[in-house]
Amino acid sequence: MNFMPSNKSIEIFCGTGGVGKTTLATSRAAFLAENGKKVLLVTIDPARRLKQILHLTEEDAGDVKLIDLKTIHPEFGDGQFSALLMNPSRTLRRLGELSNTTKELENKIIKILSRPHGGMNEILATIEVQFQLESKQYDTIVLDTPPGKHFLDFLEASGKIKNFFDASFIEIFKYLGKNFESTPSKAKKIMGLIVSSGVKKLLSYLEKVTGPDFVHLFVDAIVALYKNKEYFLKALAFQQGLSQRQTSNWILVTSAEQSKVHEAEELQHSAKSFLHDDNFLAVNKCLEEYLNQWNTNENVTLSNVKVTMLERENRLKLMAKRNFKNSLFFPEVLGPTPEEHVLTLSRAWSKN
Amino acid sequence: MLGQKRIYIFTGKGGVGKTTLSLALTKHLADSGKKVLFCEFDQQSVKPLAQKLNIPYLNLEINSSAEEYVGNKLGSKTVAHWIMKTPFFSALFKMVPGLANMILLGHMIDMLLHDEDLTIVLDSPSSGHALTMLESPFNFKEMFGSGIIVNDIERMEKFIKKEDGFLISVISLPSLMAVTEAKELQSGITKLGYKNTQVIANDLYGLTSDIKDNFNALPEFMKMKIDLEKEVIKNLDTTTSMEVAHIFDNEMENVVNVLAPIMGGKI
Repeated sequence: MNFMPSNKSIEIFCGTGGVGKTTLATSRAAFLAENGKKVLLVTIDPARRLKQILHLTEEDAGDVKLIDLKTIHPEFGDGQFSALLMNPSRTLRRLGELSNTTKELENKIIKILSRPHGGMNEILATIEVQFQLESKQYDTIVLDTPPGKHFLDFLEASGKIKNFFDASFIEIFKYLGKNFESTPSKAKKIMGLIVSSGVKKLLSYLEKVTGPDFVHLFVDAIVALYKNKEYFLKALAFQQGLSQRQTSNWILVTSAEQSKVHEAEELQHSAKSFLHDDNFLAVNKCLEEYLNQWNTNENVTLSNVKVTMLERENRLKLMAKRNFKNSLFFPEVLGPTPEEHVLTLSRAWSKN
Repeated sequence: MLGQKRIYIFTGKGGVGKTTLSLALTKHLADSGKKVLFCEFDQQSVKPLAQKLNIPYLNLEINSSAEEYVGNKLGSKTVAHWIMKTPFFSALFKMVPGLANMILLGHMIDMLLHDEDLTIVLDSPSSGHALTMLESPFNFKEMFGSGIIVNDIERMEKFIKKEDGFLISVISLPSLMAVTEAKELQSGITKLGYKNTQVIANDLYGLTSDIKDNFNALPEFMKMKIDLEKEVIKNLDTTTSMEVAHIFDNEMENVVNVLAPIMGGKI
């Protein structure tokens, strides 16, 4: 088994949700902190009980909090790490302060989109991590990504998001008489031409469907986002950093508890363009240790149960060996409290 | 109890059994002669399995749905096609995933309004993204203020608030933390105005006869697992929750077949 290097400036935990991704990321932050690293854990929206052990409440969202390991579990050694609960609207506010667009970003559409489930989560999370990375206060940022492959889809969609800021937009603004510092790029694409010649028509259609108020608000929203173009594009460039081996560890988290083989494979497939050699499949909640010690004697029913359960774990392990250079295995923790889970898992990192 | 509804939505974290339970319910409804369609949200990952199990499958794809929707609103498919092709709109759809979600949701409600006999079972995206979808009509109503879309959203809202319209099930594995999260999501969905919601604790080992009949012969770790499950059940409100047994079989097709009558029994 390969050990996971712990000298990276960012460690990204991806997973389909419900696999213990946030708990595992927290245990990793605790493990690194116990070993003297300066760590920031960025988490998206953990369960209430996990928030509790991190002493985070909804009101703290957006602020960096210092967490003493001993307050998680007395068996931890000395050490502390910082934790940040993502709050998209706080990130947006900071963006406004930096680019002097606070007023413009007050736009109703942008406000709704930057609610916790409004749809701008992923890009704002990326901008936030970028901010934190630039502060150069931490040895490692542990990023607990939003569940599912949506985060990867998002990283992959960077080209498409760039379109959002492409020349055709400037044409729309010109038509509307809005002010712009950025000059339109010389090379107009055919699509851009089609749009520019049809702007008036396009907006009149939009007005018909959505009402005139929305068109105004929408154009203002676009203007506000456009003024922050630099930050959005920089956040996208951040992707390049993530795909460099010296910068990041990728940890794809899956669980032996569920039939996750298919989803883990899919995840790996979508992550292909980012993955470098330091990518790991973390198989959480393994029962194998327990199952191997289970003596079912002559009981046929139970021995079938045991075989079925073992087979399920073996399928996952075969897949792991086939597709991943490195696999990490974490045992199922049969204690009810999240504190115990974090402690036990953080001990398991030293074996991985 | 599930009760007869027009649209059954299953959500929850990845791997909790959303697809299996929604396939099982659809299979039961189809086998008992109901006009029902199984729908995945903008993906087609179990289409072959659904066909193998004789489960009627609804293809719903975001781009074509959106084009159809905009086309209907503007009275021209050509214009809709042209609009959707502009970088402006494709960028808008990328940046604002909720918009596409709302269009898909609206599309399904339209189908249900046009055909009184139809039932749809939706295997929805996992938790956070389900909320994005379920919130979308309300968010966009606030954004748009007036116009054709708002009239449309009001029609959707009316359907959402119907007693026999939606049933949204949040599926969870039987651990305390997972169930607490599921309950949070459930109350979030209820607050939006959806009438019927429930939590399903899935994959309970302790409910299977294999385990029940051999309880005394179980090893310590299995007993601990089952004790943890009991704690979980104690924390559930019986009127808004349901428990489903774990099926000891690693083939999804078999599991769906075993669960179909069980899900049927809960309607």
